[in-house]
Amino acid sequence: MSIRIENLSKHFVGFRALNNVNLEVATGGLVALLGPSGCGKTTLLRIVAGLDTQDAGSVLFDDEDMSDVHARDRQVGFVFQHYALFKHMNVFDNIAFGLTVMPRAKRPDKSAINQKVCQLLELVQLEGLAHRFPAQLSGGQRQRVALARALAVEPKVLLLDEPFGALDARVRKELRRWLRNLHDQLQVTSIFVTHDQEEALEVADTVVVMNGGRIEQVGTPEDVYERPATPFVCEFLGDANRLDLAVAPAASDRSTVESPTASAVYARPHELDLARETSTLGGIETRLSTRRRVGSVVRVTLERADGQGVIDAELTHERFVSERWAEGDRVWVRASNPRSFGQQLH
Amino acid sequence: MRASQLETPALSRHYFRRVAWRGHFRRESVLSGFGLTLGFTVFYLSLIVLIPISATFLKAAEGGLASFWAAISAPRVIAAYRVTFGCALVAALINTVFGVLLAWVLVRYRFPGRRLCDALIDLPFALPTAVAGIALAAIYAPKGWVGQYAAEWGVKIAFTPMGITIALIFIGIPFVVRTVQPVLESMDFACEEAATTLGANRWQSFRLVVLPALIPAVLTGFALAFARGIGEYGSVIFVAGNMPMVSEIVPLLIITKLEQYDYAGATAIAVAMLGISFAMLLTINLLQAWTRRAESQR
Repeated sequence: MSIRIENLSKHFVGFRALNNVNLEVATGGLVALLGPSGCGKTTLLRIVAGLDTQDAGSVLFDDEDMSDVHARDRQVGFVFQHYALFKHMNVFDNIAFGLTVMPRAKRPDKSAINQKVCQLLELVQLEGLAHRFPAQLSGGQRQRVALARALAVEPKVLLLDEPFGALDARVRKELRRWLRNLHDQLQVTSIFVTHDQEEALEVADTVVVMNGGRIEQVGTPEDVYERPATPFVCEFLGDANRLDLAVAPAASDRSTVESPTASAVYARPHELDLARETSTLGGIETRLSTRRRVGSVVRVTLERADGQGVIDAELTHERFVSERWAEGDRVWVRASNPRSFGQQLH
Repeated sequence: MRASQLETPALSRHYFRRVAWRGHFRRESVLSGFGLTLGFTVFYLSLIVLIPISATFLKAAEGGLASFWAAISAPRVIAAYRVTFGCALVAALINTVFGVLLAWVLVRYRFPGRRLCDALIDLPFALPTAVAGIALAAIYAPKGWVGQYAAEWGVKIAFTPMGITIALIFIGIPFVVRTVQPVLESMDFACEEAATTLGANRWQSFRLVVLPALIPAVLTGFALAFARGIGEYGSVIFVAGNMPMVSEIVPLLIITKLEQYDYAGATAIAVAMLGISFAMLLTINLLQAWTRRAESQR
């Protein structure tokens, strides 16, 4: 089932949550809505689910307008950030809930429900926990139960609102991969909301970057990271340094497309060349003020000699050692792959 | 390094012995003042609760078993039990249904005058019960505002068990509302949304999702309203008519006996009331413990 969102707008009191949003999700796609908190991504998801109503615009499932269809009839599976499991029901009853509340005529019989729940338990790798209660499960297990519960009614669309937001980092990484695999297996059209760029880049086919109720860019994870459409996307996805305009353009032919005076130039910390001496290509003079080793990389803070703030750079530990960098060194910085944007965009 | 390694087992053995000795009474805790607070609690409970109750038992036992039994099983007394417990039960049940409804409306909807309604719920708490009784009698008496229309239909409200029940509903409603309200407020809205997206209609999501979470609070509210109803005196006597065998409540009977200097008879009935009330509250508490266990631990 494909989803089309047309000119969607939504106001809350004194606050514009969505501002004329257009988006298309192809059948079987896995889309991440990515943005800082308050950017409207959750509101968008809830409107698609029918849990909130838009002020203007429409949501279409397979070209059918869903505006007047109640949430319970939209056949969407919704997974909440804090699981929203029914505390007084065990895992089995939680997963079976969507089947047991079906009108009598459509409701599968007991053995069919039983079979379906067992299948789902197997799918989410929780066999043997059917008679546990939510309070007896870990966060990761609870979210998998919530997912199984949403999948029980065979939804045409799966919507996940910060599904891993309440979990610790390790479990989060694990579940991310698992969700990706699950999606490849089921091929159900899915949208998930996240504020974690790494999560969006790793899991989704398509990343939708949102800011202030608008969509900034839609593209593959590679697109949005390598070819950000706006300064916001560049800064939000991964770290980025804003560099001095006069110096950086010399480094790359791409930045010469726009005149240096009219553009903002960004460079990622790992895409900076550090040199002890200035070259013909130019560079920014800095002093290495602090260094911190984080796993396999070393993060250094470079204080600009012209007093215009600091630049964050990242280099492998190997290189840091072999080039004998130390705090207090004078460093010439050059961007190997700068991204420039017209000033009017910023 | 080595020295501390050698020391540690001895130190910990000493420590554990100390904890084990104390552990009979309490767990080792950073909160101090256990002895003092426990002592005060026991003293206070004795003074306020245990001594008066045991005095009641002693006084009731004065006349001997035969007269005790005669006092508590007289037909007039039996009828009074029936009125007291019957009316309190009916009132508490009605309060449970409408109290949950009121709490629901107050928590879930925003409407003009909501705060005023919320404040009005507490009125029966604050109002002297005699005032409530007189007001109710004035309204429901055969010549009163409401009573006159009821009289046209041949229904007598004041001075009958129905009047008593109405007084007890008035007195008991805040207990249900105020116990259910906070639970409703803290309830996660997402669970109902989840139920909706799974295809449940409003009734299903209320019955299967909301109500089970509310039940412990509802039971507590019911128990409080019921207990209050059993003990209520002030508001009831004005509206009850106090006809022996028909609309006489037990607390009034006790007063009547006292006025006749029949202290043994009065305390005998008091003890019987105490016993029945205790048994009922125990039942409700067990029921509560059971649902709560079912709710949290399972």
